[in-house]
Amino acid sequence: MSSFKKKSRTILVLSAVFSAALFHGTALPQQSEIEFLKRQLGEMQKQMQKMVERIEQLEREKAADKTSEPPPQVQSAPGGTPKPGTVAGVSSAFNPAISVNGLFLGGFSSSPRTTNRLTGLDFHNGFNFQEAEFQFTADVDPYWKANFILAIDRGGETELEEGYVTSEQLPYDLLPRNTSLKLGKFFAGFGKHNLLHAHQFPFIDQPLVSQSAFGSEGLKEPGVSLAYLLPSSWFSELTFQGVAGENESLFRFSEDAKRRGAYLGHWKNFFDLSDSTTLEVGNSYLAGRNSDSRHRLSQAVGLDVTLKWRPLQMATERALIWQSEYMYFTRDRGREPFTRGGGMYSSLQYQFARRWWIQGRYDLLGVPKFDDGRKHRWSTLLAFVPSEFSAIRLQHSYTTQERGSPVNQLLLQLNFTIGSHPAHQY
Amino acid sequence: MKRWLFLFAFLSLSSIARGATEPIFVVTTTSDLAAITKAVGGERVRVESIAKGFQDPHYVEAKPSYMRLVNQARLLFHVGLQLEIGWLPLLVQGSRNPALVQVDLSQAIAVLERVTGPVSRAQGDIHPEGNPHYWLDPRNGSIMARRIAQELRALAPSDGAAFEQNLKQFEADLLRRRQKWEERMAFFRGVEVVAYHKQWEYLANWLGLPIIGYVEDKPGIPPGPQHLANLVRTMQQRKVKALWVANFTNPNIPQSVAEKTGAKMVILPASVGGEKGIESYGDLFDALIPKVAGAFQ
Repeated sequence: MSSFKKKSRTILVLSAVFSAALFHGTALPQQSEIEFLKRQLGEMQKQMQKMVERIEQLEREKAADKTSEPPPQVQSAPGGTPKPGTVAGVSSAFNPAISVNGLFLGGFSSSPRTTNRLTGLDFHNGFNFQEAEFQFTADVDPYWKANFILAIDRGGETELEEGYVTSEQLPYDLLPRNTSLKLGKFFAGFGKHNLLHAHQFPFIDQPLVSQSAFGSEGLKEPGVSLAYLLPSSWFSELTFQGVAGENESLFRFSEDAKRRGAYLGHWKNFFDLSDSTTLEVGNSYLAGRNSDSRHRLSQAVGLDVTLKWRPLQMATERALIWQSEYMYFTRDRGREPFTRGGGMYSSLQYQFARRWWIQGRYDLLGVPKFDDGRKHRWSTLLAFVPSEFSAIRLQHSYTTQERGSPVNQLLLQLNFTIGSHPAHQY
Repeated sequence: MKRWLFLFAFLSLSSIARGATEPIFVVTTTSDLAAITKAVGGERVRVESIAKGFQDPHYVEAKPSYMRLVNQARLLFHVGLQLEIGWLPLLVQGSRNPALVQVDLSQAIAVLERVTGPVSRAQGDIHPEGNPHYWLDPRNGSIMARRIAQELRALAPSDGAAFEQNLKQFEADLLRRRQKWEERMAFFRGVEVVAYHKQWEYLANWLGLPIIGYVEDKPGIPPGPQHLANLVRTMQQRKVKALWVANFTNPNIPQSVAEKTGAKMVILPASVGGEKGIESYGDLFDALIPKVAGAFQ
C-alpha cells in the first residue's frame, strides 16, 4: 500500500508539472504547438505507465513466488489451515461439519389444546422454546457419507431424528449405476413435506393432512432406501424403501407392539419449463401390516405438485412457489368401516423483496372423507429474512371444524442456524 | 415421406458418426469455465454450464435437472473456494456418478484475500479460502486453460495433440488481446473505484485500479444507512468516478449512492454470456474494458 501511495504521489507531482506545461501551452497562440505538446505529454505518460506497470509486474511476480506454495491438501472446517495432530495423534482435520439450528416460538391460540392436537405443534400461549437441532455430516470413507440429526424438544427430551449413511458407490460395484443407497433411520420419502425437518417447514406448523396421517413427528423409520435415476430425457427418479413400521399413527399402535414392516414407493418427475420455472410431480404409495395382526393393512397414497419460479437474474429478490399435496390413508383395525382419511393442502409462497416473503396456505381434511369430520384451515405468513442464517416469521391460522368451534392461532417464530454452511435442497 | 426418410437416414448416420468419435461430455459450474473448455476441447468435447452468465454464481439452485446433467458427465470443472458450496455438493451427490472426475480449478491460482485470521458469520458471506472471482483476471484464464487441457488429455490421450494445439491458440489469442486491453487501460492506472460486492478484486488488481470501498458493508448482506453515509463521504472526498455493479445485482442502492456522489454507476457483465455477444472468454474482457474505461473519461 505504501509503495502504491508513493507511486500515486509521483504520478500526481509529474502530472501537475505536465499540466502546468500544458497550461502555458494554451497561452501560446499556435494550435500546432499545443498539439505537439499534447502528443509529447501523452507519449511521456505512456512511457511512465509502462515503467510503473513493469515495476508492478515484478512486484507481483515476487508476491506470486511467495504465495505459490502448494495449497494444503486437507481442508478442515472454515478457519483455514488444519491444525497439526498433537503428540497423541489427535487431529481435528476429519471432524464432521456441524450445524445447530434453534427455533424459538411465541404462540397464542384461542384453544391451545385443540391446536396442538390439530397441528402437532406443541406450545403454551406465550414464549416457547420449540426445538434445537444438531446436525453432523462427514464422509465415512470413500464409500459412505454419514448424517446425524439430533433434536431436543421443548420438554428437553433428546431424540435421534435421523441417523443414516448414504452411498453412490460400493466396492466390487455392489451398487448398480445410477442408484443411491440410504441405510439407517430417516424421514420416509412420502410426498414433499414429510422429508422436511421442523426448521425447513415452509410454514411454522405442518399441513393438517401430514399431521393426521403420520402424527406430529412425521413418518420416520429405520430402514433401507434405494433411489434409481431413470434414463429419461428429464429428471425421473424411482425410490423404494423397506422400513420397520414403527409409526404409531399408521402401524404400531402401542409402544411395545410388534413391528411388521412396511414398504414405500415414490416416483418423482422434474421438468424445467424455462430457465426460471420448474415443475415437479410426485406419486407415493405406502403399505404395511400393522401391529394388530399380520392380516391387517395400513395404506397411504399421495400426489404432490410443485411449481417454482425464480428469475435467474434476480435470484435473491423474487421467487414464487406453489405447492400442493393430496393424501389418502386407511387403517384396518378389524372394525368396519376402516379408519380412513383424505386431505390436501395448497400453499403459495411469494418473495417480494430480498428479505421478505408473504405466504398463504389452505388446508382441507375430509376429501372424500375424514373420520373426525371435515376441517378447513386458512393460514397466512409474513417472513422477514435478515440473512441466509436467520428468519423471523409471523403466521396466523384460522381453523373451522365440523365437530368443534373455530380456532384462531397466532405464531411468531425465530429460526436461526450456526455452524457449517448447509447446501439448500431444491 | 421422402423427406422423413432422408431425415431418418441423416439422423442415424450422424449418430453412427458420433459414436465413432464420442465427444467427452463436460459439465462446468460457470459459463466462463465452459467457454474455456470449449476453446481447449474443440470438437472433441461437449460442454454444458450449470450457471448462466447473467446469474449470480453464489445463488444457483440445486435443481434435479442439473443432477441429471452431472450424472451424464465424465468431467466436472468448478471454480472452488466455496463459490458453489450452497448447491454443488447436492448436485454431485444426487448425480449418482462415481466415475465423475471433479476438478477444482482454483488450485493453481494465486488466490487473493485468503483469510488467515478467525472467521465468523458476523463478517457476512465470506470465503475463508479466498476470493473466488479469479476468472476476472485474463492472466488466470491461461492458467485455467492449461489445467483444463491437462485433464482432457488425461481422459483422452489420443486427442492430446489436438488439445495442445487448441490450448496454444487460446493462449496466443488471449495474450494478443490482453496486450490491447492493457494498453487501453494503462492510462488509468491508480484511478480509484468503488464496487458493490467483493467480486472485482482480480480485475482491479490486473488493471491497477484500487477498489477503495464497497456498497456492501459485509459480503452478501445488504448495507445499512450508516455504512452508506460513510461511503458517500469517502467517495466525495476522493472524487471517485466509477461504481462497479454486476448486472445481476439490484441497482437501486448503488444507483442512489452514485447519484449522491456524482460517480457513474457502471453495470458490468461478470461472466461469459452475461450480455448478448459475450460468447468466448476473450469477449468478456472485450465487453468489460470499454465500460470500465468509459466511466473514467
